[in-house]
Amino acid sequence: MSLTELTPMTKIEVVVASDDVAEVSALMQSLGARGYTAITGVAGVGHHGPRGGRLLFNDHDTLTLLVTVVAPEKADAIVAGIRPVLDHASGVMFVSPTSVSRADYFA
Amino acid sequence: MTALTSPPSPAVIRGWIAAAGRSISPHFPLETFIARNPVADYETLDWEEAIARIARDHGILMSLPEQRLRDLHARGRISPADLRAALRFAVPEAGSSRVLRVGGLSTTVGEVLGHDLLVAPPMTAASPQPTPAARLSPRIHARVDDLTSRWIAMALGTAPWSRMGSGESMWAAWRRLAALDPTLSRRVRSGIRNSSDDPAAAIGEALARWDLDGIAAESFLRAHILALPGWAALVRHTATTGVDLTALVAIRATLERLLLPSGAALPEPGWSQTATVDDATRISAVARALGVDATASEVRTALRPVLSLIDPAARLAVWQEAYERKVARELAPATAPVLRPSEPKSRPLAQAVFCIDTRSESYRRHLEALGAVETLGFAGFFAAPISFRPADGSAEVASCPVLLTPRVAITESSVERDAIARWKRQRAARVERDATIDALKESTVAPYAFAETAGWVLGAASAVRTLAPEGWRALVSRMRPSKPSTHVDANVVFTLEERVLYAETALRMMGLVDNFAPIVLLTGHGASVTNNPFASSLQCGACGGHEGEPNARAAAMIFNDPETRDALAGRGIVIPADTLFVAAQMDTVTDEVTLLEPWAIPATHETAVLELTRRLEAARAADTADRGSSLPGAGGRHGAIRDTERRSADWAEAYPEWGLVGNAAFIVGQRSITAGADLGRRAFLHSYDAAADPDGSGLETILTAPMIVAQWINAQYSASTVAPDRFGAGPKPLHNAIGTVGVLSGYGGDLRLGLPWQSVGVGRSARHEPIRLQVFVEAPLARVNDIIDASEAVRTLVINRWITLRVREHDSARWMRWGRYGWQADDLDTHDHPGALAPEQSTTKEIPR
Repeated sequence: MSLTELTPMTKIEVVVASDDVAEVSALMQSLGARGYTAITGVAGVGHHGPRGGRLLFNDHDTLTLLVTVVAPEKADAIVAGIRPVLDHASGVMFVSPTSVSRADYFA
Repeated sequence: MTALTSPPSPAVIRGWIAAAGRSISPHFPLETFIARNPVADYETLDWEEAIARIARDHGILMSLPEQRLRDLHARGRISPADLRAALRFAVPEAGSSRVLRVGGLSTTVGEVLGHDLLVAPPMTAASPQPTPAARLSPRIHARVDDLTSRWIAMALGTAPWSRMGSGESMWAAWRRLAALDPTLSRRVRSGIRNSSDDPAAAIGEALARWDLDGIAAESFLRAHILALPGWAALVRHTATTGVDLTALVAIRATLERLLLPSGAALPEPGWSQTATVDDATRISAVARALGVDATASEVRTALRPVLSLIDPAARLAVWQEAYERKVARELAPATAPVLRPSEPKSRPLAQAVFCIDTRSESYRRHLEALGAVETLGFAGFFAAPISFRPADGSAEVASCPVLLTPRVAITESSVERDAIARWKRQRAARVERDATIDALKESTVAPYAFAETAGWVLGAASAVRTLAPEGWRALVSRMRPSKPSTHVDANVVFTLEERVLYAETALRMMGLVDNFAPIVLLTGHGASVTNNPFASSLQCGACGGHEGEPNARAAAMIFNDPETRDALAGRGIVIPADTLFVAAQMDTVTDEVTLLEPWAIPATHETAVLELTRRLEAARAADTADRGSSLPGAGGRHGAIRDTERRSADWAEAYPEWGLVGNAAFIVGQRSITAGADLGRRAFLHSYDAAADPDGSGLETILTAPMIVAQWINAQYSASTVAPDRFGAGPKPLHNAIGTVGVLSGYGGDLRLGLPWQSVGVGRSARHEPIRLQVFVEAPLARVNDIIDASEAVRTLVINRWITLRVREHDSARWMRWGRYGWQADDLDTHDHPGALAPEQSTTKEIPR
């Protein structure tokens, strides 16, 4: 299969506090995302300093990366919905073009 | 009024609602009541800024009222020294000796601000942000509240008369059923029928109706969410079940739009209001206090820039800080070398590990006073992050801090197959009988017939239960079959690697790595109470609002596991072969400590266990006498233990125990630094020895887990005390349970948040002092620095001053406090030098913000 046979999609990645995952993922789904992937315990350094990492007895205050892939026409709504949340909570969002082989999983 | 040409998209509205919903923390149902700061999202703000924002959004102050604090100052509860120290901490200029000329008077910034603290118009909170209906017609606003409450109760409670369809969202169910509501006018019903099937779009219709966009639209949504903060908090918790904040706001906004007259318009100016303080009045008051002419322009010109150093919210924060200093001083481990024995200690009879819960403090003190038993403090889940499947077949519960997802499910079972099967059958029959009685009581017609036929039996039983609660409990206990001996399967479901990890972590966290006693008692706790919807709030917070029994049993099994011990020995922790870990549970109502698996105690340890249980009984007698006198109605002629047993069994008792009332400090260090001190059940005590934790990971876990839970508890007790009408559950006698989700006060209204008044006060007086958690850590400063740098949760609480963190390297070092400019010497013990928080003593440290 060559890349030209793949279907263009939009990938939205959001890093949020694990405590916010249920709310943000529900928001994504209410705005058209068919599903998402959650990667827990992510870490990094941002303009607030070191962030994230795993804690032995605290899943609540770690960071989670939520990844969803949607048809480009749905992406605007999801981005518009998540932005107000990120205006009030710590987190970042990345939006990028991507391609998938099973378009029916995401449309 | 002109309608918006392009109302916000439903997607943006959903995003705004998700953001606005953060103004209130999720509310956990009664069965898993989790203490939490009801305004936790504001913790990302400085304490002062949060006070102002919460006052604006919620219409309450998150501290005692300023006038009340001034009264406490006048009565000596807040000393002038503490007030000065608090002022200098908040406003470094207040410590300056530079002379200030005010209308011919020579004064200082500190003196001016000192007068300001005493005479400025007290800060008040405005009413919460109003919805359009609240501004235009309080009657309709109240009706919207009432109708919405009924629908949410129907959706989330256990209403026998109407249910949402399976798989049906609350918005869809509301549109279907509310359109048939005969109490609504035809026009309103028609409007409901014709509203959008997308709740976000329906909100868009309301925003267009009121011509709101941007910040005004967000304020509108927040006002609707915070109009019923209790239901909104519950909906946040259950947001994934088809009942979400968008549906809640859509119902409210649609009802409001339809019930208000079609031509109604919002009055100017805007509907976002904040409390304002009259600066001119403030300047005049301070000038009069200084004894200078308040009308002179040069006086006002001189005072204005000084008073601008501190706004009303910051002034309230100064009062709060001053209020807390006395408590911090009382609870701080003394700065003095702890006497250590010059010869090796004799091996104690037992080491008893108790939960860090503040209620353990007095019991530990009394147990230690009897000699031969050492005590330690550790989070009551004993590092066993489990869910628990009881032998009786009841639902699996997450028995670990709510911060955690259970790693494994522990099952309770028995080798006595026939006995356990018989016991389960009998229990199931009892559950069925109770369910049938409940169904009969709650159905529409049956209660009348049920009362006629069974009333004479149940009435007599109720009379006995009321007049002789202990006798009734004893009777019921005798009639029930005894539970066969059971065990849990922790050593099976945890891999060896996990068992070693959790065992080593626990031992290093509490500094128990050598000198093991023959018996190590792991004491979980629970509270035996009757007819108490808030029973979960009295159970173990580290076990998710459940009893700590499963965790104590699981942990004891792991520590006694030979393979685990072998692996621990390889990691430098040698547990002697004759050391036995024993699981126990303390009833915090009666102080009775019960061994959980007495059948597992070998003959080699029987004598030692017998001796230990004698001491536990003696400690119980001492502790019930100690704390019993503080309970309302104390002083029964049968003694303290009998009184606690009555409180435990009495279904009319509003004060079974005081719970964690008074909690104010979290102390991390060896027991020797607090041993013998009467801390009045106000401190969470976590054992820690830096020498046993070479890489600091144990301390990191303490500060990122148990301390966080302690702060949640502390914040909830404070919120329930300072704002009982908004963040408290009200008086117990008025409670009306809505299924298992919460309580109402009476027959309707908002779901009540927080703790009942009887958990924090008596009569009109609060027993709990709203003190932000005072954290004392004895550990290397560099180690604590690393944790603050690495953990955003800790950093946020410390830097934004939602907790006060003090650290010292060893017991003869002065406490260093994290302040605005890094670590500062904080000489709490010195009355003569109250301003010891001198900024010049700072050791500057860059803080990532």
